[in-house]
Amino acid sequence: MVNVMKGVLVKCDPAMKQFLLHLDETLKLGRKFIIQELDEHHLFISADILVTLQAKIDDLMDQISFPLAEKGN
Amino acid sequence: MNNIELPAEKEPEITSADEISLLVVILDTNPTQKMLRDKQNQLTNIVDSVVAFSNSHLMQKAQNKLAVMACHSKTSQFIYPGAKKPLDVRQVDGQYEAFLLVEKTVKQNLAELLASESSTAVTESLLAGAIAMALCYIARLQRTKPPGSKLNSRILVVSGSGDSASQYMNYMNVFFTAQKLNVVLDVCALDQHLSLLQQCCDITGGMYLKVPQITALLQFLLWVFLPEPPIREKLVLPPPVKVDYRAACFCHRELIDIGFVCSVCLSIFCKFSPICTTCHMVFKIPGPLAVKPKKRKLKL
Amino acid sequence: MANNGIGSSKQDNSSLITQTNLECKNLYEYLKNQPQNVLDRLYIHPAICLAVYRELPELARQYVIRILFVEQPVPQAVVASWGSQASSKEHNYVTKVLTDLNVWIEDSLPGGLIGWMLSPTFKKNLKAALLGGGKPWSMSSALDADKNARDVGFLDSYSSERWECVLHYMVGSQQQEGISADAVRILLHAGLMKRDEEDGSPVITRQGFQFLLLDRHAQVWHFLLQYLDTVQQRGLDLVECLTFLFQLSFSTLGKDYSTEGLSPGLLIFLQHLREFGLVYQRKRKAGRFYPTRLALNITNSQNKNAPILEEDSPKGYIVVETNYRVYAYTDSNLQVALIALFTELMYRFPNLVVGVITRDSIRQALRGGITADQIIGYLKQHAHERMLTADTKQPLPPTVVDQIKLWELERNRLTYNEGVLYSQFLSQADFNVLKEYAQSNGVLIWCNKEKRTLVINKNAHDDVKKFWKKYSKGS
Repeated sequence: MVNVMKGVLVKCDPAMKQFLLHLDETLKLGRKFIIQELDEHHLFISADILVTLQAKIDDLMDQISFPLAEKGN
Repeated sequence: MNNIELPAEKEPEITSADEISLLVVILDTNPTQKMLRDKQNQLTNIVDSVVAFSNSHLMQKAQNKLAVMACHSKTSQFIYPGAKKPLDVRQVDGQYEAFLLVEKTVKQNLAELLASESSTAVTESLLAGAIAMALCYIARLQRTKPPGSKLNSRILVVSGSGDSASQYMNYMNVFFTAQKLNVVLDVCALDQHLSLLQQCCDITGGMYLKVPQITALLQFLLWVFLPEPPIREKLVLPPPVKVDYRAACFCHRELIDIGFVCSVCLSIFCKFSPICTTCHMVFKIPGPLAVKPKKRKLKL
Repeated sequence: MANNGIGSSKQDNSSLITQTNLECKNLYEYLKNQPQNVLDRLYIHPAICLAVYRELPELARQYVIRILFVEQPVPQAVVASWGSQASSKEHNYVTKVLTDLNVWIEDSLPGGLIGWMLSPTFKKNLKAALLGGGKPWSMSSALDADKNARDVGFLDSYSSERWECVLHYMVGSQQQEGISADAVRILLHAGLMKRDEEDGSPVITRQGFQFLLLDRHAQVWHFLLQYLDTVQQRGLDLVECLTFLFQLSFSTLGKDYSTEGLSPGLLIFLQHLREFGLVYQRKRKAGRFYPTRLALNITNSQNKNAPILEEDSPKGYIVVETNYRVYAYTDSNLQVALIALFTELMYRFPNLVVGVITRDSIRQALRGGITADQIIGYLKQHAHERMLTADTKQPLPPTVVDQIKLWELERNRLTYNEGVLYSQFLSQADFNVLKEYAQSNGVLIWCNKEKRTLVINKNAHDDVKKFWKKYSKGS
């Protein structure tokens, strides 16, 4: 029988994928969310975690960027 | 940034759809042309065809520009846009207002020009001068165009005169200037073959056409001369003709095959002269060639 | 600003996945969706034939003018031979456009060949526009000289003031007087604003922001298209209004035109145009009106980069520096509000506003639905003259442009697609069959032969399930 699962397909670059795997392992989002690893650029995750995941990604991007312009205050 | 691919930067280049295309039509209205003397209303028919062609050019894009010049026996003048204020026209029929304005202005100014010409002296058409005036106009528009826009210009010469070797120097000057300015020169010969103007079409990349029947003039103009230079490569147009590249000698203005060339200024003469008329360089008269004494074979 | 922030309680997954943007139709797209009889009625008017002709691609214009004066149909092979070898793909596209717009029709020649012929109404009226003949267009009756003649400068300021009223209303700055209920209805219909759930007042949408950043011509054209959609409901005739609109677009700036002979429906249309700033009329009952710059060349939407007429070149006022500072020499509240959408404002002077482009300000704009291209396009469009003369090809500093695009890409590191995962097929054949089926229906998002796994679009799940059940029962 064919296995059927509902969820969300995520396409990203390998670096981001590693980050998602890390989040999954360390349960940073409260629970495991990766249903299956598909290949270097794709993951299949559960649908309801999407909002929290995007917030976490935004946090990460904020951490690794630094202000480019001097505001002058 | 190995992982993130920036989408290929597509420069929004100004394609030929956005270019402003300027057309300057030089109409030879010299009454001494053979074709005008032969048939009474020939000039009216030609002017009608040229006006319809000019309006077709304006119809292509809202930003296209037009100028029409009349080249007469003593003078050349711009008949559109005229020197005076533009006429205030209202539509009389379905014709678009701007086209009606062109038609009326051209006819009015041309009539004034022809009426003002009083002498009946037989002279050649001053085409080289007219082309020079057109080039000045084009240069001015190039300077004053809005920043960030592109302007491509071309000159169309419509003439029934024959070749005039006396204007050879002037022609060469304007042809090379046009080439430098990237102005394309097209020539539509109505009656006789124009070999000098053929050379100019060759240099500037324009079209040369001798029209077989004048009654079909508008059709030939629309098919061959209407497409602007950037899109000419997309259409199949008449191939360039073989050009007669003989130079004219500076003393008699006759086309020659073999001649003398001054080594300083490169001007061409048909006969030897001790002083070059252009650069005043002095050349020694070549004397009789010295004969080398023959070695006599000893007769034994 | 519209509350589209992530984490708000009204947020759901669908907006992360489907992001709709503003779609601007050009004249070709608008007309090809009109029914046949509307097109036939439209082509009776020379103004429309002229407008449609100018909108055609270059090659199409050459073809049309060549057969304009030919009476018989021209064989298709002959027309194909006019284009050079290299442009055969363009030739096919052009043929399609001309057929879609009903400009030419197929006709058979004696001898069996199929040829093209210009449709008679189009041909007759294009010739009339070019050479003359037929009736004059409706607004061209003779007029006496106007005692209160208006010059071009006055018309320009009038039209900007009126149009900016609409834009100010969208942005929500309470500066100007409000606009008429009619105009609000059009904005709602166009999706540029929507009724807020709580208090019922209109608020601006994503598409609304994108609309604000377009250049004026594109804004007017898009707005009018939306207006024309609602025209039937108001009891006006679509063809009549379109004809009048195109006649306006070909008028000369600074000249007055007569209202004599206009039908009552057209007079109402004229009043609406007066409200949006496309025409100026001293009084409602005045027998003449002046078209303004907004109405001219209205359909010339191909020309996004270069200004059409010399006088039209917009007075740029924005300077962008390589240190991400933006200096805008303006005092118009609308322009300041637009710049505040994607920069952090620092100082404000009577004639100057200084802001800085930061990651946060750009992200805020991106969250609101504005794309990086639109921001860059807006800055380019209003770039100060100095920046244009310094470097025509790249008026903005490349570092800033690239960085804005990178900030946008940063948000797109992950793309989501709701789907259904099928794995652990019993045989390779089963896998192949399902994969082929999904691919032919265009619902396959991802597949892997070795692992025998594939992902289908969520919407198509029921369909594929039914197919699979049928297949497995059959085998």
